[in-house]
Amino acid sequence: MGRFWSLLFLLVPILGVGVFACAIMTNSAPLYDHWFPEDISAHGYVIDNLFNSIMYLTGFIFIGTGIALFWFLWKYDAAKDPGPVKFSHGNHTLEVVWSILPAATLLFIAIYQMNAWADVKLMRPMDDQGQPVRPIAEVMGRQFEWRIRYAGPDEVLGTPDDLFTVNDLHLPVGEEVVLQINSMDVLHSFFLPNLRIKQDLVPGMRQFVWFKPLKSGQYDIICAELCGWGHYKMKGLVTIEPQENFDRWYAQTEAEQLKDAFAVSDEEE
Amino acid sequence: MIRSDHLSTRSSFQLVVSLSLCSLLWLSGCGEPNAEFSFNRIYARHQENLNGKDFVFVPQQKQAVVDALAAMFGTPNDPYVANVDGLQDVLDVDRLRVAAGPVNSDEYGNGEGLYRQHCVHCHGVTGNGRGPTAQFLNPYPRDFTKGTFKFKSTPIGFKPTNEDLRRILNNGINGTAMPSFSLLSEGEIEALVDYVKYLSIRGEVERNLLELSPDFYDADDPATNDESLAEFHSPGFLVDEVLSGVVEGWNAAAEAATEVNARPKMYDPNSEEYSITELIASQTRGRELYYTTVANCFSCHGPGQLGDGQITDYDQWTKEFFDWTKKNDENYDSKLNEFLSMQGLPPRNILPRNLRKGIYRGGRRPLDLYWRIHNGIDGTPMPAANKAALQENDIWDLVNYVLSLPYEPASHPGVDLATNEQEIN
Repeated sequence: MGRFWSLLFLLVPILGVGVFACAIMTNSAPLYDHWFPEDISAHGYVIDNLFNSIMYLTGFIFIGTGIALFWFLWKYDAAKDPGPVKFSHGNHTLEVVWSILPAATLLFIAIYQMNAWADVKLMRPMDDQGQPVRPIAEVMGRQFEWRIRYAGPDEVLGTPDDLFTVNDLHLPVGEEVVLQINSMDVLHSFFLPNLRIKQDLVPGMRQFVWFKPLKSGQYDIICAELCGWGHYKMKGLVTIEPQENFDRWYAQTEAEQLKDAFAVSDEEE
Repeated sequence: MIRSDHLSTRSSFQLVVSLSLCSLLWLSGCGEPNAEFSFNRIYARHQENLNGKDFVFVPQQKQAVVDALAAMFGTPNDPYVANVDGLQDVLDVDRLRVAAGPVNSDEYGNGEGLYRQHCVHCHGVTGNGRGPTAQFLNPYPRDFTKGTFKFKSTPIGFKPTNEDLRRILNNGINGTAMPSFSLLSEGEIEALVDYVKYLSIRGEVERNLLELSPDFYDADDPATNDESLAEFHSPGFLVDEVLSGVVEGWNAAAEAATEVNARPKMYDPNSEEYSITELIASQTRGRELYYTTVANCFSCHGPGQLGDGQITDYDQWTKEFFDWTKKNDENYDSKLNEFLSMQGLPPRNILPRNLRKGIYRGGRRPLDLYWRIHNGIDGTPMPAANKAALQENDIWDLVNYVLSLPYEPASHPGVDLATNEQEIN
């Protein structure tokens, strides 16, 4: 029983790596869908590569530290190693090594991520005239829904030709898309897992996100910042579709928004 | 040395085992309280007040109402639809079962207990709009039990159609705490629509029973009371005189919806006949009407359309127990204390809509605005249009005018800029 604690500590790296390995490799319950959702954006691989390289780096250190801890517990177990304690007064070389190695690693990460950050957060796409691309729509977070407002044909938000939807964002595939995002009430976070976009929303603060979806389909819009009791179901759908489908949907939704006639036989009941 | 080491290992084992047992117990929970419909104390008290200064319901009378409701409608976990003419057309018991009961899912993962998952914290188990979060919201959640709904296609006094309720569930009510439930499946929305109607019918029947109950009890002649009570519980009374009337109202809703002829095409920006000059002319006529005493919009919505024409009125349901506008009434304080002691929510003024914000609670389609102006808004100070004086075209002029207001320069005074405006432009 004297080895109990050392073996328990050995479980930390083993289980830690095991959980990651299961999540990555298995695709069945209970770990179904616990790794990255499908990446459908043009830039998503940059984020994923960044994530993976940092994960492998920290994973390597994590395993090494776990094994070192285990080894010390095992070797210096009081029951098995009753000899006297030896004190060390430090090792200059060792200290230089363990200071410079992490510093170099952090510097590498800082430089390696710079472009990824700038592309996603700072370098808003420009149009042919060198102007920032106008947002196709505004997504407004509100407890507990996503209110969407398309800029319409004039490409300006806040004009009479705007189109309004709730929880239902449609975007054309293969186009560089800019969205204006904001919050109406509290902190939310606009999260498109499949497009590798996540941005906190601050009430009254107008922000932009941009991405290029490459694959048609229906994907989630999720709130990633605890915003109240209904946070967990503050969901929307983003439908990525070919331009002609998008245009058709847009025309239909606009016709519904302009609906101005009603006859009792319209009721299907 | 070895023995103590041994001991400490064993005690840590015990610690680990007992901790995991504790967390298991914690995870499994201690069971939730049983959901029960609550008695409409406020309306009962209101009826007592109406029946004279010293009138109070005896416990048997209240119990008779509770029993009759249980017999007709079942419990929150087990709703029941009585086999009554017309009621089966309004409510589908299978759909009710999907919406009722505790939150759960069946073997295929379909949700059950939808009402308690999505609605109950605001609208309450009984549907009286007094769930636990209700007091923090402005406006307060709808009280279904009064059978009055605001945003519908039918005139004042009529029930909403299924489509009206569906639209509210799908779109939410912008400007209030009611969110959109558009991601629920069609079947789930139908189940919730039926459950809202169920709660509304039950609540209205309860109110009617409380209104009629004083006739079935005579304090001066206790000998007759057993007979009266038997009559109170008889199907002839409960079904024919109380339930049928409420059910009829719901069945009549679809037919009662107000028909609307299409807005002239010259106002429709997507039509070939669209004419901006005609639209502006219409908006100008609408603006003139806004300030006339015929349409009389300005008296509530204000001379600047900011919704500040009157700010002291209350909804009809708020004013039912006591007219809170009578601030100087000698009974005001005692009435307020009594109202609050019965879990009534502190009365709040109903404010006319600020028409410059572009937030339309009942929907932004021209059709919705036409219904609002033509039919008024049930339960609120917003009256139906004066049909003798306002023709169809006049209402369209008003609709066009209201739709243009959020884009008038006066709606953008230039102070409501984003906090980070400097950085982004």
